[in-house]
Amino acid sequence: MFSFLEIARVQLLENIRRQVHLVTLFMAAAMLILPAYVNAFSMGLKAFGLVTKDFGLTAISYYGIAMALLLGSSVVPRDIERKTIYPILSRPLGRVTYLGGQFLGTAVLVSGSVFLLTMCMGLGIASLSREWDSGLFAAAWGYSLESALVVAICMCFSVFASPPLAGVLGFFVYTIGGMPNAFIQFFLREDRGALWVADGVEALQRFVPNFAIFRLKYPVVHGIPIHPEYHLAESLYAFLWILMFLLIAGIRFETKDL
Amino acid sequence: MSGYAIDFQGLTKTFRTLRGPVEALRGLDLQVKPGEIFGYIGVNGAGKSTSIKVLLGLIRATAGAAWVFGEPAGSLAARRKIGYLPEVANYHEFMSAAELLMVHARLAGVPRALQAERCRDALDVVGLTARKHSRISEYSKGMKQRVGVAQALVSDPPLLILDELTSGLDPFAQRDLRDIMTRLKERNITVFFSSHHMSEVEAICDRAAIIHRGTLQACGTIPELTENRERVEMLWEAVHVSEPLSQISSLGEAAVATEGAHDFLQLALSRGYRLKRMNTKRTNLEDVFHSITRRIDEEVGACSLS
Repeated sequence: MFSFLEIARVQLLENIRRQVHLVTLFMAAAMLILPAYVNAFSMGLKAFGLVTKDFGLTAISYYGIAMALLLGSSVVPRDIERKTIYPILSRPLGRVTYLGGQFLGTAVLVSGSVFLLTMCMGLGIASLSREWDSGLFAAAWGYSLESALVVAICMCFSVFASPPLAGVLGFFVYTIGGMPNAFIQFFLREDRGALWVADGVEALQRFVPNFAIFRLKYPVVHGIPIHPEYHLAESLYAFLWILMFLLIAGIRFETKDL
Repeated sequence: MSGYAIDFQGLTKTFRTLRGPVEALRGLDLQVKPGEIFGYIGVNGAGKSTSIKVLLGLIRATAGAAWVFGEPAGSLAARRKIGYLPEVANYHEFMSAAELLMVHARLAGVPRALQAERCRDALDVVGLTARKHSRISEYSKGMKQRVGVAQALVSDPPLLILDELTSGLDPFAQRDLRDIMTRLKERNITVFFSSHHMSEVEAICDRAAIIHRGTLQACGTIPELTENRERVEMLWEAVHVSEPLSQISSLGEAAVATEGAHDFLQLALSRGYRLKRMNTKRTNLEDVFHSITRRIDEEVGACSLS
């Protein structure tokens, strides 16, 4: 148990030292000034709030996913390539413990970044509107779960494949799992007539997580209340999928020659 | 249950590659006794690192078995008894030596009350106490190797596995690490180390093994391996050579066992060679190593040709 947390701590520190973290700080600064920028073009306070939240949450979501793809697909192969894994795995700890620790360290960093950006955006909005919207964190929680799940997916693929391929596969699963039903029905099936593509996507969606569950941007932006039990349900859903991907990764990693 | 620190029994490892199977280990049998410093010698690709990785559970043997103090290699119980320094030791360079050792003490399951003491002790053994708060990225290569030895020691293991400990280090750093190993012997720690430096193995090891092409070729104490033999090295000049001798190289060099030196001298003189220089030399581990590996390579070459 302590080994698991120790690996997570080292991984978190290691990730913080990677230059990608500087991008987070840049994004945070952008989120702080975004409301002022939008305000300059807005036509009334209501439009300002809607546009800022919509645009800001979309940017935060994409940033979280980009980080998850980048870090999740490279964290284990990087340790193997740099051979930092050998002294760690020569200790009396299971490889599943190692994978779990790596996942936790990476997921905490990605989720932390998502919350940091959300907080910066919230502060930016509050500085202009004099109102603090705590609902933004409901959306941030969903994006954190979504990013953590993508980290687990990429980490799982990275045990089988090279980091670039793991990233591409992770992005593929994310795209398929997050494709809205309306897009499949109206764009693929009716507008384009790509029936076999639509059928293929729908078939694949049965085997991958439904990322739409984590997207709470619309209710947050429009002030629609979200039932607290929904957060519990989405957390449980994410947890079970993460567990499954880590389990698959663990089974393969346990027998992998290093 | 075997009483050996390390026990390899018919260890075989075949890697499946795109070019077909590659046999890294072919029925390796080797035993290391507790408390000895054991040198593990072989060329690159001989199977040294592969067998060490099997001990640590980093790779799985295709056949055969290995034990560490009677525990199956790779098991948690076996790994609790091992301190390991990898061939290429990369650590989290943003940490200081003290921080890295604390991380490894926690990973090794050292009780909380003992962690600080073990770290202090390990740093003291490798002589890094004064620089323990400097970042590892600021260390020289020799200091990084010493940090590696300290992290291997932090769990106070009865067996230390050091893979190519002194590879790529300057003579001073090599000597420092040899001194450290000698100090470890006084603590009754079994040290199993692979090396390319024969003189180093000769200087500090109780026993050594030569591995080549995945099999054990020779094993014993240094006097046993070198057989305490002397040889005579000669330098000849071809003056009026009637029939060349195969033992004399194109440069005129020849080396023969002491007991056959007199007869060889007579023969070479009778064939028209003139002796320029001659001296006796004790056979060392390097000679034995070269002779064994050359013989095996020639045999394999002959087999593949036939």
